[in-house]
Amino acid sequence: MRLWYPIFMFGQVLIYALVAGTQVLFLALALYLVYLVSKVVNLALGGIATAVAYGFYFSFVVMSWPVVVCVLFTLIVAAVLGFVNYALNERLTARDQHLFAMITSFAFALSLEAVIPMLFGSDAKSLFTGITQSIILGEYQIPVPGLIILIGGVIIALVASFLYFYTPIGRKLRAISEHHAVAMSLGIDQSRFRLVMYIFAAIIAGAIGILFGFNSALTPTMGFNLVAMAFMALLVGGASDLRGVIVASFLVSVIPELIVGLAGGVSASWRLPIVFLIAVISLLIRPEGLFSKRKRLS
Amino acid sequence: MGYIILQLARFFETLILAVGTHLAISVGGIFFFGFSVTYLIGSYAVAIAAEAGIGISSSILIAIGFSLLGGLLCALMYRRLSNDGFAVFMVASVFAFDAVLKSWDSVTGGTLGIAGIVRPSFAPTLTSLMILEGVLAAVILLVEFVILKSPFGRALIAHKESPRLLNATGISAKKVGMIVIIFASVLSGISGIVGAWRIQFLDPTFGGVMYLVFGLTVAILAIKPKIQWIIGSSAFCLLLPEIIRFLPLPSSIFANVRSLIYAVLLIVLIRWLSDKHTDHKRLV
Repeated sequence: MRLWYPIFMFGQVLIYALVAGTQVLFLALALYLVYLVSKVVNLALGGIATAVAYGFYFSFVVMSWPVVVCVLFTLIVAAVLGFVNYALNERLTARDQHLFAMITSFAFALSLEAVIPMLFGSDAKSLFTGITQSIILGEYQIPVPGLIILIGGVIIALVASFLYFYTPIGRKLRAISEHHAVAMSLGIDQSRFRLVMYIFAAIIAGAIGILFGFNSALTPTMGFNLVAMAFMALLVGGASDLRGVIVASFLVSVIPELIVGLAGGVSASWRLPIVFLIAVISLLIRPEGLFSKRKRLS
Repeated sequence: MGYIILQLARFFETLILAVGTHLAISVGGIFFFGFSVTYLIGSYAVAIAAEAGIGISSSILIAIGFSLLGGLLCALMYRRLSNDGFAVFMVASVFAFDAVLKSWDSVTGGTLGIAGIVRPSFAPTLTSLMILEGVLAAVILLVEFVILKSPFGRALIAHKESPRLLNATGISAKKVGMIVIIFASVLSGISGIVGAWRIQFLDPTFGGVMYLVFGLTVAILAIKPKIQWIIGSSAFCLLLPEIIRFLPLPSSIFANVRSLIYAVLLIVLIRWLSDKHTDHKRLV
């Protein structure tokens, strides 16, 4: 039996919105992890996502290497970029110059986005030629890359929450986030934690860049659009609150997606301004974050 | 000769913008990145108003009015958010405004932009426009000089050193910050207006992220609260990428090389500034 058309449309748009939300969640989590250990909003992640995706394009499409080699090569690219990002920011972070570190990460992203068109040209690149496979669920369909993002996002959110709240690693992360001087006096090697988090965040960002490439085309400037939504989620959710970041990631994705999908005459390019409007309203009402009770101090 | 006049016009435009960012970022320590948005607001407002057949003086007033409104909104967010949160929010506003410019086809012309912007009758040629910009820049520099010597300028310097101590002296640090944000917004709007007149064509690539990095580099390089620093910094940042004109590079990558130069320069400057700050860290 066919569903009533408005319900079908709502469901289909909601599926796409959830995929978009999960994509934002990935990057927001990457931003959150780096913020947790360094108090730096790492704007380089957008540029890293783009660079890693182009690295995959180089190995997979240009060189036609086997998939395992491509994955290894891409992981190395992500790790190297994560390390460079860490090396550029570490001295500033250690001196508590968080805004300087943010500007440095922004400049690093810009330099990556300037180098990519020099190497690969500024036209859009495709990781995949042909029709994207879709999974049919009743009357709804989900593209395979979207499904991978959705499942991966749920797993990552659950694992991150578990690690953060219930394991010694999570406790150390929270300790560094709460008071880095006290954490240092307890023997926690913050510098190593930061290095691991920068590399881990670069790998997550790279994975999203590649999946984005399978969903649509690669362009040198795609990174900023990706990261813009993620740091709106970080702002709305509260940079020190994991639950807030998770909820805000879906909030800033689902609302604009529903407006664009269901309201006639609103093009997809209005997504970001709508997100910005949501962020303005949310920050005016709850500047400290969605669920935070205390005043945000940074 | 035309090349020199063009570079002089660009230099004066940069100076007008840089006075605001210098006061906010270098002198006051407020990471106000919204200047890139108010720059675009000023330029687009004057172009749209002129296209709608509104007289030149009214167009200028409308453009400055909108820039002021943008500045007020930024100031409101500054009041509500922490310094870090405000900086991130301002970067986000650059992306959001860029998306608005690309999406609102009927008003902004979308990605195609607005062509054929008519210069005002009092500055119909590039030379006369350059002279007008020079006079404007001189007046604005004089205003900055006076501000830096005034109690407000001292409050601004104190704001960078320690907002808490400024509050303790009975001056609201947030109010000082809000005033300088509004002032910087209006100046960047004016810079956008004269920039639109110079180019006579606008599209979303005018301003945006690249201009944000450029303005930020100029402001950070002019770290001292003295006007000669802002003049030197503007000239340096403007002329530095000009060297690529004399290199045997394909013209298709000029814009990318320019971006790369500014980005690398910004990283180097930040590291230099960080060392400078650390050496003279105040232990109050």
